[in-house]
Amino acid sequence: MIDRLAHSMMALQRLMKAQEVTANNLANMDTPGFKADKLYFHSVLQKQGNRMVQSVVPGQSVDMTQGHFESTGNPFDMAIEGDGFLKVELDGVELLTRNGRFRQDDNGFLVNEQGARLMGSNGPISVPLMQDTATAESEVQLEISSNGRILFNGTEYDRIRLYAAEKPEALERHSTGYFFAPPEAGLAPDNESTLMQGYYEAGNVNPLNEMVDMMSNASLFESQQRALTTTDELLSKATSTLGRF
Amino acid sequence: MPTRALSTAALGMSAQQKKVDNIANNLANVNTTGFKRSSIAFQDLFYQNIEVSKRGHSENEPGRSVARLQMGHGAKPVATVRNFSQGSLMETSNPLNIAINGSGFLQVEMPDGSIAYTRDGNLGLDSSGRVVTQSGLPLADFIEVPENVQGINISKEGLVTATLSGDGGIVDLGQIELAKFVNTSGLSAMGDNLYSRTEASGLPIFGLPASEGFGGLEQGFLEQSNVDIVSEMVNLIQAQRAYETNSKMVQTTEDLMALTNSIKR
Repeated sequence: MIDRLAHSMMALQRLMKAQEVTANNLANMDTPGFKADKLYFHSVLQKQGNRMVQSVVPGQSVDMTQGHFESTGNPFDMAIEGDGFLKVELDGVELLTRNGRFRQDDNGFLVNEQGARLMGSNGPISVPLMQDTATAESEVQLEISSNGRILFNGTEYDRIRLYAAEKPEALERHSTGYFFAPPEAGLAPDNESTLMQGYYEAGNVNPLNEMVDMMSNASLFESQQRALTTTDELLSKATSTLGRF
Repeated sequence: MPTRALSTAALGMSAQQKKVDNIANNLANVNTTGFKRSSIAFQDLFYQNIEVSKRGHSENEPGRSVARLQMGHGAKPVATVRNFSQGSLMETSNPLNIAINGSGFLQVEMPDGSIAYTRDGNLGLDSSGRVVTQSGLPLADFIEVPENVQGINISKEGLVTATLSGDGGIVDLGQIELAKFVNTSGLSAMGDNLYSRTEASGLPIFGLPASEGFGGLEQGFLEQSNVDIVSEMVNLIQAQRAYETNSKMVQTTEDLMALTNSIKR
């Protein structure tokens, strides 16, 4: 009986976690490059002494399906078609991202909103500052080809490298839209994904699914709460009735 | 902690509120000359790692694995992204109205001597004959129109000439130069249809109108705002629905907390 109380309590805690994950997905409905989180539960059968004990363990996976592309017309924006990630460097840490909105800083580096530098073949990508090379006769053109070559007035400067993880489920979320690849993720250069210049990838949150998740979390929570109070009532009945003898 | 779902949903609501505010500003400027619509860019917040131990393992069992959950904390608006696509041109027949057909900005001199950039070509003359914007700021090209002028002509290439009254003939008044930016969407809006350069926009590139990469000038025309009412209305509906789903989340989470409290009666 007491065991049952503990089980119900854990179920309530797990459902609350699931609700928090759904809340985060819904809050990020408009975040570019955002990937929705999914919480799943798997049961584990383990031997404890002579008994087999079943327990439920929460797991998490990131939904990596492609978001739709939004056009911006900004030459520094790029969307990835495929499973690849862009590699950026922020404060000396190499991170992965699908958010392809960049600009050029005063030193010529391609940086994103947080100042993280986009990585190319040999370290951060630096292209000449456009105002230095601009002349009245020639239009300055930055072209990012679908395989990542950065052409500046037709001259190739660097190449954006895309990386894909062999085990995408091993990728860890690292604050503000980045992913961190631990060694077990098996990060390798990706030659299949392509880049689309002038677009960015919108988030892949499906509000309908999230609403359904939210409602089912709530009703499951309610039934667990009922089970818990019922167990409590049974216990109190048992103790009071048995106490009379 | 249920409060996290609450605060996450609240952040989602406030993000959508910012989006609605921005749409309201776009719609309010649907008739503003040279206005460029903007949108808000969002970003997810940090993630907290939560270790979840598998219940039921025994001490002597090797590899007591610990699953890890990563809980996000909502979204925040990070930047306003301005869309500098061309607005439609409207004919006014005023010789001091110019529209830029293509990319580029007119340069105006601020009272403190700095340069601001604008697409609003609704120009006029001040008391001393200088060509100024409607708010009285002179063009940085410094063009002065003498008193005995019959007509002003501004060519596609930005050359300003005047026909003098009587037999004065045609005089050259100056040349309008345009500026453009590597990353135009990085410009910062100052109000009054003016923009200033920022670190994100980069330094201006100067050039003559109708030369390569710069738009030509159209005399007697004004550039309309590029706000598209239909797409703004669709965005408004989307933002409202997103706000609603997030507020539903607040409501449901509140219900869960009430349920938790009613466990012990």
